Amino acid sequence: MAEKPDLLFRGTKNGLHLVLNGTKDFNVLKAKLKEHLNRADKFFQGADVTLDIGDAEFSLDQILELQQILATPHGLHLKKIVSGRDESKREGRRHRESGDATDRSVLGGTETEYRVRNQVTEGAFVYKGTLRSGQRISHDGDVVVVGDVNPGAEVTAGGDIIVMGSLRGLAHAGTAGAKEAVVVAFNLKPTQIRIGSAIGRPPEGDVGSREGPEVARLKDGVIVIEPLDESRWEGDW
Amino acid sequence: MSEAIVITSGKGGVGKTTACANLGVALASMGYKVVLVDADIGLRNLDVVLGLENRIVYDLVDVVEGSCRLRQALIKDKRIDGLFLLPAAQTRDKTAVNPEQMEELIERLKEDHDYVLVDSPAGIEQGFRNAISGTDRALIVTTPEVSAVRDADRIIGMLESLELSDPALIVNRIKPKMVAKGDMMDISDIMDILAISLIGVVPEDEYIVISTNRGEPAALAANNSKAGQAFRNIARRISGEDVPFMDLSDTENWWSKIANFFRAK
Ligand SMILES: Nc1ncnc2c1ncn2[C@@H]1O[C@H](COP(=O)(O)OP(=O)(O)OP(=O)(O)O)[C@@H](O)[C@H]1O
Ligand SMILES: [Mg+2]
Repeated sequence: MAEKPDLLFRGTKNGLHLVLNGTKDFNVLKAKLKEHLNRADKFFQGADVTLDIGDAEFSLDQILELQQILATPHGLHLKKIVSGRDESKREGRRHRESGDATDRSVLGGTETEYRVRNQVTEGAFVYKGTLRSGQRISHDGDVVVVGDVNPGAEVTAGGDIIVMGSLRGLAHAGTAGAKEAVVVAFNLKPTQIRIGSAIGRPPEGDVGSREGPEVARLKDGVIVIEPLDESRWEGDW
Repeated sequence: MSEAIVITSGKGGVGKTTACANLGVALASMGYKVVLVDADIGLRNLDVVLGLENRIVYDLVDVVEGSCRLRQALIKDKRIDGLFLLPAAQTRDKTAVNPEQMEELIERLKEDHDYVLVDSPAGIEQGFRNAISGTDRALIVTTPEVSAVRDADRIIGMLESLELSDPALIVNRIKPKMVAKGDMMDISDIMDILAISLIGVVPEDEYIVISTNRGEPAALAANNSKAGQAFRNIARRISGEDVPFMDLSDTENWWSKIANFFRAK
């Protein structure tokens, strides 16, 4: 079953949609949110935010804290809160049309909704589509991208990263310190790969293109890249 | 059946305004009623490219604020029947208008015109959000440079999340000779990354600079510049025609490569 990333931003017609994985430690989430907002330059300035806290229930104090982080210095307005696991109802617009869950107001005001549902999920986060420049996935478990990761896009995973397409952006696997973490792609041409604290860049100049799926992993503290079929890799999948 | 199309890009200076003016001229020459909306508030120049600068009385902000009627602000091009311009305000900034107001404006323009083409400012800030409001479709302009393509990718990602699906790409200022020598990204390099549909390729053409300075878009029927022809072809594709890609046989086999690329799709 697919788990959510820790944090995911999406722009929608109704402003910004922020998905927080509420099963994660609140302080970690706060830190990640701050880090992301600082990266996001000024594009989000003044946007309305729909906060999706997924499976968890936050206390009112925690919500207010998040609201504060969004408001200063980034000028974002927390307008609406949704929870619940059903992907199809995450969309603010669609969400309003569905009235099947327990709604209660947390922040007051007509636009605010808070949906309660408890369902813990686990496994890899699967993203279908092209991850484009400026887009970022960050997740504590494994990440599978069914599509390309373009230059300027970033995937960060506590575990492995598997790209069923071309990896041309940045991939950081094993952020939690898992030395056995790997990055696999059908076409591995990253701007940079990180595994744990090791950083690997493609060699300078044109190395000629290698065809076929490859795997990047740590060998004696250095990132090495090998064809997937020839690697004597003893992973657990 | 009218359609509002925004012409946008990630990087600035790649040819949005040039494309907007030329596509407007070309579509109007085909008999459609077209209005060009300059949404680059504070940095207007669509009027200059069209040679209509000295006829501006009212602008987009005046319309939105109700200081004049929509009809009063529309400038009719005297060269081509059915071509109109709604100029941007030069002395205001982009916060003078919000996305809801733009959406309403575009709706009103669609009532009277077959095509509403919106010239967007570059980048991802409020001006961009204004420009895409109310449009049905986006054309992304890029040049064949790594940085421009990267920024185009970013814009495409944003459009996708804003549910403005199915944008099409115009590659502008391509230099066949440089591509042939391997010194410039070619179309397949670009399409490989952006993975959206390609609606046209416009070559680097001195005539664009000349025509811009004269205020006479290259797509005016009287001239046969390559860029002008390319824009006329894009206009026909916008209207739903299936136009084969230009075969300018005097310029190497590069054009046929493009043609093959399209056929392969
Ligand atoms: N195909 C072409 N061949 C030669 N010159 C071109 C071509 N297309 C555009 N140019 C030139 O490039 C310059 C920038 O074009 P233009 O103003 O259309 O870009 P823009 O994307 O609208 O810029 P901005 O982001 O500032 O609004 C102009 O001087 C124009 O004449
Ligand atoms: Mg312009």
